[in-house]
Order: sequence, then structure tokens, then C-alpha cells
Amino acid sequence: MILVFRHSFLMSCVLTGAALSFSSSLAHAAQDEAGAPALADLPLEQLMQVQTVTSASRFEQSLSDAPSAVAVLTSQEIREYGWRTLADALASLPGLYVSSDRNYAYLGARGFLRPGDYDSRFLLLIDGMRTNDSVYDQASIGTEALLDMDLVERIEYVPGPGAAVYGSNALFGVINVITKSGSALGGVRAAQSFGSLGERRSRVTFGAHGQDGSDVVLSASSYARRGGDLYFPEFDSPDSGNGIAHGLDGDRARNLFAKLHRGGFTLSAGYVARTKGVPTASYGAVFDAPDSIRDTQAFADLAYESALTSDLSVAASLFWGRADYLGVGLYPNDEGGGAHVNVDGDHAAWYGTNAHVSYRGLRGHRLLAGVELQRNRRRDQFSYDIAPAVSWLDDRRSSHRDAAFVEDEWRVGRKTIVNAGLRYDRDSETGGKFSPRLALIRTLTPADTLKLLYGTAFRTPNAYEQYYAIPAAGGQEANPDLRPEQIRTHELVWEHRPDAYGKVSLSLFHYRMHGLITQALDASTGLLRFTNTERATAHGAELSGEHTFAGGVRVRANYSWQQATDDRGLELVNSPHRLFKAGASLPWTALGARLAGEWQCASQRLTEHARVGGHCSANLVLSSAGSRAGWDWSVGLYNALDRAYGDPAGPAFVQEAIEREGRSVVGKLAYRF
Amino acid sequence: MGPCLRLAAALLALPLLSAAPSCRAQGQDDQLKAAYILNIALFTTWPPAAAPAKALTVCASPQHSLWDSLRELDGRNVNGRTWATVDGGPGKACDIVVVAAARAPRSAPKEAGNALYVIDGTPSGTYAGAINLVEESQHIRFDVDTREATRAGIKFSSRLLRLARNVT
Repeated sequence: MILVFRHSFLMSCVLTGAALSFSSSLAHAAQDEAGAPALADLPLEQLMQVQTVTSASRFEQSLSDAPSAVAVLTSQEIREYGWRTLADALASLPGLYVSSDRNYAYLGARGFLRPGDYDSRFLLLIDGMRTNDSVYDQASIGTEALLDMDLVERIEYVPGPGAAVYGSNALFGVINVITKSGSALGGVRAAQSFGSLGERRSRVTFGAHGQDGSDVVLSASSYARRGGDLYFPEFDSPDSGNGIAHGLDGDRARNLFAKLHRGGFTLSAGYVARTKGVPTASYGAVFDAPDSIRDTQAFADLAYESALTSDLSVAASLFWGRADYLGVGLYPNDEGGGAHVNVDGDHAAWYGTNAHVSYRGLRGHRLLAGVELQRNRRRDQFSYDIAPAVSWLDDRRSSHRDAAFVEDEWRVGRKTIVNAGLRYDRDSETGGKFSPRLALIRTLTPADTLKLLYGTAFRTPNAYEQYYAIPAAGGQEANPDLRPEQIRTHELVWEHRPDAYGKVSLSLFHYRMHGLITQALDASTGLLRFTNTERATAHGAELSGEHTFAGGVRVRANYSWQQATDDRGLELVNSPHRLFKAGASLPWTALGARLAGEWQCASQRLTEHARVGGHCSANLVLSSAGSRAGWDWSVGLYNALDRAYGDPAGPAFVQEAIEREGRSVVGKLAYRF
Repeated sequence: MGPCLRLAAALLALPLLSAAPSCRAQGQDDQLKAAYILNIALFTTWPPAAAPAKALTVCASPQHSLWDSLRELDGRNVNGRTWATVDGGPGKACDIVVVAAARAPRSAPKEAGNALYVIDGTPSGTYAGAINLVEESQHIRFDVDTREATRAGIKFSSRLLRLARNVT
């Protein structure tokens, strides 16, 4: 099937440009009307209630010095744009795009989003702790994510390879989610939201802070969505319910999170259990059967940080994690008609420790050195049929990896920084690997910075890619000989930060990948298989700008042009050439609220055998201004123009594309006690 | 329109975002921080010997984003003394020194005298001053280091200490 969307990409760009201009003119109007507030006459207690216009952390000097084009999203934007998942938030950034197959959310970067990849090419950190699991290496960014978005203080996205510091998985980028402190949450908060298709979210959070710096956060939340009936023309026959999957798109999740800080110690722990209906009959399942997947993940982390002297500081942590997946599906029997239930899943468990020291004693240098040890105690995968009982897979494995890294930020004079890093990783499955990185950062003017970046990264094949095997129709072959895939990147970044309230940046990049691990159908066996066969290159440009105007009007936009091809020069699957995103958030003084609109466009993408057309979608959110006491509310309209568009499905699907959600409404009410 | 033309159009359009006037927007947050510093000064007692002058000298760098907002407070009465913002070069006698975290010294300045050091922003391993203004979930908070204050011979009122986020 080829999905044809009539909406013109160009028209969307023009309309968004017009919307931005309108926002801009509103901004000037607001600026003219806004009188200077007599803040200096307010007592301290009242000043503490005043919100800042923007979050300074977005434009800190340290970001200019960073060896990457770091992007920061704040809790302010999460609230104003109504982002409900990490995927929603990340999709607003330059070069990133999100696909959905109604199981999980998949993140693509700079033209790469490989079928069968559960976001293993991104490293997802929570407060600096790795969360990718030990079977799929999955970075969970959809409703299966560990954190409720209301607990997120800031998301830092570091594009490009991060292996020189973080090792495997930091191939396309590192996502660091920084959670709110008890001080920021301040007391007990409860929130409830209701939305289309039976969406409900409840949350209770407690935050407390002592003047000795001790801090506590406790949170519990639940989410459920009934989902609606979905039509898949590929299954439109009387035998399969005329292509309608009835009420199979349900989604529900429970989250727990705790963080305790005292002295130099921080103990954090989290848990998520999420069950999602599978309406797509993927992997050859029976259509319109109540298949489901259940993902649970838990972590605990004890971190210690201390400044031994003014020049020397140390940090260390002990971490533990586990992740379990269980898929239950109805599959047709090979012979004699009828169907059987198959149970498929994994158990992942890991623990480890890391430590690093930071030293500033050498003039002009900031040195960082560290070690990391991780044992993947369980990398177990299984698959079996119930009645007749057949065990297809019972693969039990463990592995370990050790690493050491050094990094030096060397200030050469007042205007130049050389940032060099090297890390050595040794994996019990795939051997040793060096990852170097070099960055030259030059301050051109107080507002302009030029960065020349060279980086490398690798990703070891995960247990799923190497060892998952089901020798039956719709199944998969193992490939224990898979090697790590590697990337080498060159990037030139210009950043212009005229003041603390805006920036423009331009990035030109060239990526080369070797041994790209790709899932494809093996024609000789009819089974899916991961191989190292592909090389790929990508080059492109990203331009982004944002600005906060007087009165608190915030506008941002970014445009990406990227060309990703395989070694035959052919376009990659699910690789849009162009992305355009824009957003504006305006104060609505009469309501004591803000109105935020967001527009995201992607050009056409290749599917396994066809194409999906380009699309634009828009969200509109009206929210109260985020007071620290009393009631808070918001109403969000997602896919406000009800655009029909789809994302390329992988080779495990009969469908070429899976259609996205149409228009939906969500209302939310929160109270701080 | 080809990709290159679109990119060129975007190149022309996006810098307009940053070229737009922002001084008032920027001022809004800076005025808030300056108001904090003024309030903190109202609840601070300098040693009598160090405060013979009528003026309360507030030293800052004209490059610091707070400069204009601090200057707007010139002439304000602070417990009988007059707020006066000056360019704080070396050797200047200051009652308050306001420094951006990115420009903060690595450790406590030796020749600080009785100056109250206010560090604006989260320092990364550098000197945090006796007062550290930090942003937390789009609100300004302040941390107090009483040891630094004692070293400078400065006393804070109990009300100020009660409102601080952290007191060390």
C-alpha cells in the first residue's frame, strides 16, 4: 500500500512561516504593552512566586563550550507544549523524528531509523545513569518509559557519537533526562487528566527539601488508554473482519519513582509496568486477535559526589537494573487450520559500578578520567507455544563489559578550546574497541562560537540481534557472528547566542557507518535476519533558532535537510530528506494562561516496498501559567488538523505503513496542597 | 523549490528570531534577580567599621546581563545607605560583588574584605559566594553560605536564612 497524503510539505512550511510571523508581531505587541514590573518593590516572599521568563539553563555558557550542538528542553516547554512522552519532546528537536508501530515509539536521527531497532542507537540516561537494557539495548521513550514527564526538569540532547565518554549505544546521540528536585516540586501534588479514546492519567507526587540540602521526591502515576478500532486495508477480507482491529490498541502503564539526596549521596529508584495491545498482526499473527506486549523495567542507583579540593572532585555510583518483556499472540497453525498461542519474551538484568575523577589543577585543563564495570547477569530470551506445547527458544546468556576513559578540555588562550576524549571498551561478546573524539571550539565573538567536531562510536550487537531465533514462518534466524557497527562523523557547528534569551545554530554534518546492523528478510529461508552487510553515509544541514520576546512570547523553529544512503547510493528506509518543526508559546493574560502551538513536518519516506507521503501535524495546548500553589490546568488538542499520515512499518509487518493517531483532546487538572 | 533554496530561505528567516529586540524580555528576569539582591541587602548587616560610607557600593561587570538592572536600582535606600552600582575593577572597595557563575573565581577571593559575594547561576565547581542565586523550575532561589558570610564579617537576618533554599 502506498499512502498518499495530499498535504503539501511546501505549503506547510509557508503556513508555519506565516504563523511564526504572526507570533512575532504578537510578541512586539506584547512588548509594547508590557510595563516594567516594579519587582524591586516586592518583598522576598513574593519574589519567590514570580516565574522567570525563560529557563537560563537553555543558554548557559557551558553549552557554548560543549563539544556538540547540545539542545535543552525544559519543564516549562514540557508543560506548555503538552508533551506526554519523551518521544513527543525529542521529536521537536532538529534532525530527530519519531515513528510508531503502535507497539513502541522509535527515534530516528539525521536520516537513520533502522527497522527492528528498539532505539538501541541512542543512549538514554536518567540523571546520568544508563537505562538501556541488556537484551534489546532499548532506550524507552514512549509510554513504556520509566519517568512520568511531570517529573522531568530538563532533557539534554547531545547529538552525534558519544562513545568516547559513554561507550556502546551512544551512536546517534545521548539523551540525558534530569529529574525535578523535591525543592522544585515543593509538597504534595496530585494531577488527573482525561482524554479521547478513554485516556486517563493520574499522578501523586511528594517533594520536600531541607536547608541542609537533603531532598526527597516520591511519585506514583498511572496511565490508561482504551484505544479505538483501527482499519488496515491489507487485511480487508471477510475472513479477517474486513480489516478492522476491534479495540486492540489499548495501552496502560504504572510508574513509581523515588529520589533521596543527602550530603554527597543520591539514591534513586524507578519502576514501570506497561501493557500495550498489538492491533497490527505483526510477525504473522492472526488479525483482530487480542495480542499484547508487556514491558516492565526497574532500576536503582546509589551515587556519590564530592569535591575533595577546589581542583579535584570525585563521583562514583553503584547501579542495578532489570527489564522484562512478555508478548502473547495468537498465530495461525502451519497445518490443518486453527491457531495457537505463542508466548515470547526476555529477562534482562544487570548491575555495575562506575567512578570518575575531575581535575582542574593544571592551568587551562579540565581533565576527566573514569572507569566503568557492568555485568549483564541475564540476557535471556524465550519463546514457546501453548497447546500444543512447543519450546522454540530458551536462550540464556550473560556477559560483561569494562571500560576506561579520559577526556581533556584544554583552553588554548582565551578563545579556543580543544576537547579530546578516548575510551576503551572491552565486551566479553565482541572484544575490545577504542573510541576517540576530538573537538575544536573557537569563540569568534562573545556571541558566536564555531565548533569543528570529529567523533567515532560503536554499538555492540544486542542479544536480540545475535541470538533470537524462531525457525517457523514469520520467525527469525540467529546470527552469533554479528560484529559491532561503527560510525565516524565530522560536523561543523556555528552557534550564535546574542543574549541569554535566544540562539541560532547551523550544523553541517557527514556520517559514515560501517557494518550497519540491519534486519531484513532472508529470501532463501523466508526468515528475518540481522546482518552487518550495509555501509551507509549521511550528510546534511540543520538550522535552528529560538527566541524569547518581551512579555514571555517564545518562538522556535528548525529545519533539517539530510541525505542518508546505503553503499549502493540508494535511499534508506524511513529516512526523510527534510524535517521542519516550529512552535510558539504566547501568554493569554486575560485567562492567566499560555497558548502554545507546535507544527512538525517530515518529507516523504521510503517503506519496505513503497513510500509514505510527506506530512505535517499540529498540536495546540492551552495551559495555566504554572503557579507554584493551588490549581493548574491544561487542555491539549493533538493532531489538531486531523491529518492522516503514517510511519513506515518494518519487515515484520504486512502493512507498509502504520497510520498515526487522528485528532485527540486531553484535559488535565492538577492541585498543589 | 529545491532543498537548497529552502535551506537558503530558512537561513535568511531564522536569524530574524535572534535579531528581534529582546532587551525588555531579558530585563524581566534580570530585574527579578536584581530585586532579589536588593532584598538580600536589606536583610544583611555589614560590620560597622566597614560601612561608614553613605553609599552601598555594588560592584559588577558592565558585560554581566544583570548590569542594567542593577543600575536601575541606583539611588535606592538600603537601610539608610544609597545603592550605587559601579564597574568593579581590581582594587575597588565593594559592599556587594555580583558575578556571573561562568566568571566566578575558582575559590574564595583573598582580598574580598567585607564584600558580600553574590554568584548568579549554578557554579560548576567554582566559588559559590555567600549568596548563590539559582534557577529552579523557572523560579529564582538562593543558597546561603554562612561560613563565607562570617569570613567577610557579614550577618544575615533570620528571615533571610528562613527563606533560603540551602543554608550551609
